[in-house]
Amino acid sequence: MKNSTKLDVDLFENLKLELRRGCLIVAVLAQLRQEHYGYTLRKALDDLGLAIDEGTLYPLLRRLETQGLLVSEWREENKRNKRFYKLSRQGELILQQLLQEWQTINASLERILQEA
Amino acid sequence: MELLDRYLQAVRFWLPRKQQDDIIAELGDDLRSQIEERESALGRPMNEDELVTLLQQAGHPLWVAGRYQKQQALIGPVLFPLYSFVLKIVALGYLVPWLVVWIVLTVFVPSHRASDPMLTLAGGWASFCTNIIVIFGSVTLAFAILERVQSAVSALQQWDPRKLPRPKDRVSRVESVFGLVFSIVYIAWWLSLPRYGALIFGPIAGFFSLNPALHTWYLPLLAPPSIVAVQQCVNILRPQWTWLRAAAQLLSDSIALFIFIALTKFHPYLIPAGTANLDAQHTQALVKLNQVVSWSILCVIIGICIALIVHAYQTVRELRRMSKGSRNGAAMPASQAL
Repeated sequence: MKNSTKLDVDLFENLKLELRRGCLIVAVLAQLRQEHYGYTLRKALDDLGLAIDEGTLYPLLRRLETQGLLVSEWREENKRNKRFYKLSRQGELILQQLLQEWQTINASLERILQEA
Repeated sequence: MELLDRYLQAVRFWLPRKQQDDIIAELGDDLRSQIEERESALGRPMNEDELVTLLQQAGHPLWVAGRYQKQQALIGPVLFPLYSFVLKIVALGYLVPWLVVWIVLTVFVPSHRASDPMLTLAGGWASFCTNIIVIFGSVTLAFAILERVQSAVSALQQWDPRKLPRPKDRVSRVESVFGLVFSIVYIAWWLSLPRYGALIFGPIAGFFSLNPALHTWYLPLLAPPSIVAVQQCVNILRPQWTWLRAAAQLLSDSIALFIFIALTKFHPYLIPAGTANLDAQHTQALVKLNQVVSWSILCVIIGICIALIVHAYQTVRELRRMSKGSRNGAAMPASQAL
């Protein structure tokens, strides 16, 4: 019984991770319509209810930048060098498309859940 | 801050060389910002335990660095089913036969046994482990390379569903008919041996003949092909009974194995014909012929053992499929479940 509960928890965590993966990309892109460096971006997302750890955020930012969706530059702030990220032109276009897709999926899910 | 520096150094070690400075600067800034914020909330510097907790929450250096790596899996989810299939084929097609050959040679050929049984076992085990490591390593390496060039593999990009194999839910009637014809010809040939057997020996027939003790096994040797012939007849009428083919072959293999193991006890297989007195040349030829027959019987035993393992696996698979089908009810026609 104890094992079965642990399996359920693991299963839920895995499924939650899959569900969050795509949402995090949209959230990060949307939040970076304003310029942020990593720490303030994490704080901003956390304040809005979407916690993301540094081990997930920084590799994601790096990947999105490699894909051309973000631009970044190193600048000094509070006597420390920080890397500031912002949505690129291509990133804005992709974000619009992703938001449309998100709304379509969301509407479909709501209909499916109402039917159920 | 010594702990933080140690942490960042450990993460740096596992990072891609070109990105090390960049990533460490960014990660270090994030962690320092967290520490400053925590200290500001506490109104005092963080103690060592609190710093340890914060770094533990950030994750093990290996795990943190691993998130920055492009390739996370040696063999990805696309190729993994094929990789797993190839490993099974290699295990069944090479390692199992290797094991069978080793067991048969150790049991039947004294020169393959060391003086101490434990030494024989240790030597065999060491060779088997080496084979496993080399073969599995080679397959894994090949697939790891394929994983990195798979986008260039045209077979995964251009394919036609019509070329996929048909489900094996029935035994082909054409296969059964041809198999039956072959079985009948073989049985007829075997039955004709007493009358025309001398022709097989050709010019040496006057000098050598079979050991009379072997005659006892003449008719029992018809059992394996007869069982297969009956199965082929039934499968022409009931092609959906796929389990019957596997089970009949398993039974046939078991009987054949029993007979051939029994035959090993009847050395010499060939003896001088009648009261013929053999000269030195013919005596030497007789010894060599008996050696050839011995080795041939050994090879047949190895072959049957391998076939037995394969057919046992197929029988279990067919019976499982049948039991699943009967549990699912409508999924399998009643005639197949019988």
